[in-house]
Amino acid sequence: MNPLIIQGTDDTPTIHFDVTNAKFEIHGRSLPEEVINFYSPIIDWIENYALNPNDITVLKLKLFYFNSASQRYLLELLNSFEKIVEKGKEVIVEWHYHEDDDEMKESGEEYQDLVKIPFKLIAYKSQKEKN
Amino acid sequence: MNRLNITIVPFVLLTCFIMFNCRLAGQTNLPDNLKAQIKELMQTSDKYHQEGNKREEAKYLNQIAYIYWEQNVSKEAITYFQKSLEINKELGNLNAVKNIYSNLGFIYAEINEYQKALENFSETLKIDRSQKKKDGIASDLQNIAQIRYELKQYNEAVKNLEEAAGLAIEENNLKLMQSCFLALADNYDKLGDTKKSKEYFDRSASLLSQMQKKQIENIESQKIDAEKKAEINARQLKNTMDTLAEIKESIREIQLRNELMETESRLKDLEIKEERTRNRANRLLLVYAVTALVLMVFILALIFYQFGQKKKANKLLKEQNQEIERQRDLADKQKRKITDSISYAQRIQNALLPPEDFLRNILQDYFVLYKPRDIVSGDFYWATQKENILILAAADCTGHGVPGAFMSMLGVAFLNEIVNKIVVNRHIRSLQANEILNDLRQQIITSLHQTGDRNEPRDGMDIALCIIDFDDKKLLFSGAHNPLYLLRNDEIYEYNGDKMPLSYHKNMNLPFAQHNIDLRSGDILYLFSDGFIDQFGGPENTKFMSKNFKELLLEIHQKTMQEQKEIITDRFVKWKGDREQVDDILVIGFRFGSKKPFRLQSQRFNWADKQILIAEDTDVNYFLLVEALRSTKAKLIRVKNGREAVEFCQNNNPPDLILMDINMPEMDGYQATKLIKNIRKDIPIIIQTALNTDDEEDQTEEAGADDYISKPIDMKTFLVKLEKYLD
Repeated sequence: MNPLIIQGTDDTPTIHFDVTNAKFEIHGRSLPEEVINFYSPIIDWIENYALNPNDITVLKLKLFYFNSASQRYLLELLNSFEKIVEKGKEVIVEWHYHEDDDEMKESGEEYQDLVKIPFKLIAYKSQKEKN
Repeated sequence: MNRLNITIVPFVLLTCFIMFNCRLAGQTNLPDNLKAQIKELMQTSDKYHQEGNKREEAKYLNQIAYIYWEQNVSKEAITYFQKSLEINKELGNLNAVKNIYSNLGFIYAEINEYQKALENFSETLKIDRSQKKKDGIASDLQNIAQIRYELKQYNEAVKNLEEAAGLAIEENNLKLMQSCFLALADNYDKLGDTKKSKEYFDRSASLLSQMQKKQIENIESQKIDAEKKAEINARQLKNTMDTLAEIKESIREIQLRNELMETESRLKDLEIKEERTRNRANRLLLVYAVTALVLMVFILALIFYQFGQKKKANKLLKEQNQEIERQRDLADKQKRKITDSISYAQRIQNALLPPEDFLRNILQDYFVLYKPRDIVSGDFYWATQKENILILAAADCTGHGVPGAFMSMLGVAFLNEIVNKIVVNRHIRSLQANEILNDLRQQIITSLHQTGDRNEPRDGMDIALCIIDFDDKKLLFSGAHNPLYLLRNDEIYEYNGDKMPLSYHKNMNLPFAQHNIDLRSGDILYLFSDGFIDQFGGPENTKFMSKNFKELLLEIHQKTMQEQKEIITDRFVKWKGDREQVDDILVIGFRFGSKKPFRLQSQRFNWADKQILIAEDTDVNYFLLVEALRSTKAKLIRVKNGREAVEFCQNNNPPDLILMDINMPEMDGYQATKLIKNIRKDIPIIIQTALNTDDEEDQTEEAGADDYISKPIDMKTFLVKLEKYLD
């Protein structure tokens, strides 16, 4: 399966999904003008991946900001990963948030409640690490 | 030289023949070999004659003629020349014809038949004149002049010679000139003009000496050349001798020489090679030169072409620029139009927001920081008040700008609808904050037809909503994502909203939670959207974050709300710097006061001088209307059926307004309305309907009623409706 790599911008996060190297990362900011257009191909990719997933998938999410429109699509995205769990394969979400960013932590907690995937909430010190 | 010889030969020949006066020789005198030759020639000629090859025939006839002529057998010569002449005339061979005429001229002159000679030379002259051959013409004229001299026609001869001399001068033919001058001298001498004769003789002699001088020079130069050649030969001879001597000196030397020669030849080879190389180099150089030249020409052509192109391009560019300017103007215009349109939309949005005096009246010490990202906003705030209860909400719709604003309109409309419906049907004190959110969520999902499909735009909103009871000092809070902050005694109390939005969601069937908070005087409350805390900025371009926001609030909460607004705004501007505003911003803060807010009920409707007749048989309904109208101070009169209502209008001062029930004993509301309208058309009658059916509406209209109201009465619209007929 071809890797899905989308370079991030000021408005969209970086997507790095690589089955072969078992790397699944999303980081950056998410406030695209057309949320559906941005997330639909990503979700399609995951759905496709879910048909024949790795035994263990670790999804690393490190978002600094996402708007309310993106919020819903991140959930869709996680729901797609949920399908892998339903298949009996293992998925772990690493939710990285800045130690001071209560909103991001709460968002992680919210997603944790919403999807049947084990979450690791990981606080980091400085947002400077983002790049 | 040659041409000179050719022209002079016949003349010289003619002169000497005449001078020696040669005798005509007989055929018999011909040697045998010539006779045989002539015979042979004749046979050949005959053969060609039979074959019809006239050219060859004429050629052999000529040859025969020449043999006879050479042997001075003039008669035979003339005969054969004339035969040839006829054939050549036939063939149109003009040169041959001319030559034969000329030959015949000479032959006739030889045999002193001058008249015939003249005729033949004249023919020759005719042809030369036609061919414009100056040498020929001059020569012919000289021959003719010679004949004329013999015929003693000196004047004519002079004419011919002068013409010939003129042509000779033109042609710069010295020899011809000299012979013409000499002949002229002879003729003038015969004419007795000695002066002219001498003159021409001198000119002739002078020319002759010049020609001789030249001849001598030629001979001398030839002699020098010969001497030189001899000298060179001698030297060469000497060299050869020397070389020979050298060769003789030593055989080894020869061998050496051979070797040397070999070396030389090798050297020569090398030289040849070198030369070839050089040639090649030269050729290469030439190629380079030519290439360079071609290139230069090409470049020049290119430059000229490009110059032209550039000119063209510039023109095009100019046109394009004009087009771009035009497009830009258009875009600007469109942008202005859109911006104007959005600015107008902003006015509508602002009109829907709670008016400032309304909020000030209730909240007294408060601020609203409302900072849309793009003119119109997806954030909105909403407030309504009932008795001493205020419902206040700060909402954040998905998106910003126009789509956000659309959602906000929906939010405002839904909140009005939900709260009013609850307020109308139940006591205000039974109102719950989470109940509003539940209803609002359902309204959004239903009206936007959200089904949970992945591709549908799942718009919705986050909200912080509180119901504040100023009498009981209680606050009910419910939130969708958004929290409520309460600051009391330098401490911050955080009430978080539920982790779900007002839209389709996995947990959308779960009711929202509600926080019950006892308020104290001096409590400061903050409702806000996430726009402020999510703003990127600061030294490391990070989000402002709630932590900093809370710190900020703790720091400033003791100041007046207006001061706080200024500080928060200032902090935002500084944090943001020159970065973009991420989202719409809304922060509402207010200080809960110790004194009760002003009388909340509006004193808008004052109908103390108005009399309203209520036709209502049911007591409960009547008392409801009394309650509804109490604040208006209107004078109320009650009748219990339609007949009483009609009678009252007949016998008393007409009321300012009648509220007519439909179903009443003795006479129903429609009947009564018809009768009253017959007596006093000017009394406004409003029918109260219960069923709100189309049939009722039609009957209301048919009866002539002015308006109708639906039960249960919506207080807000009820008074507004009455106002129309009372003021």
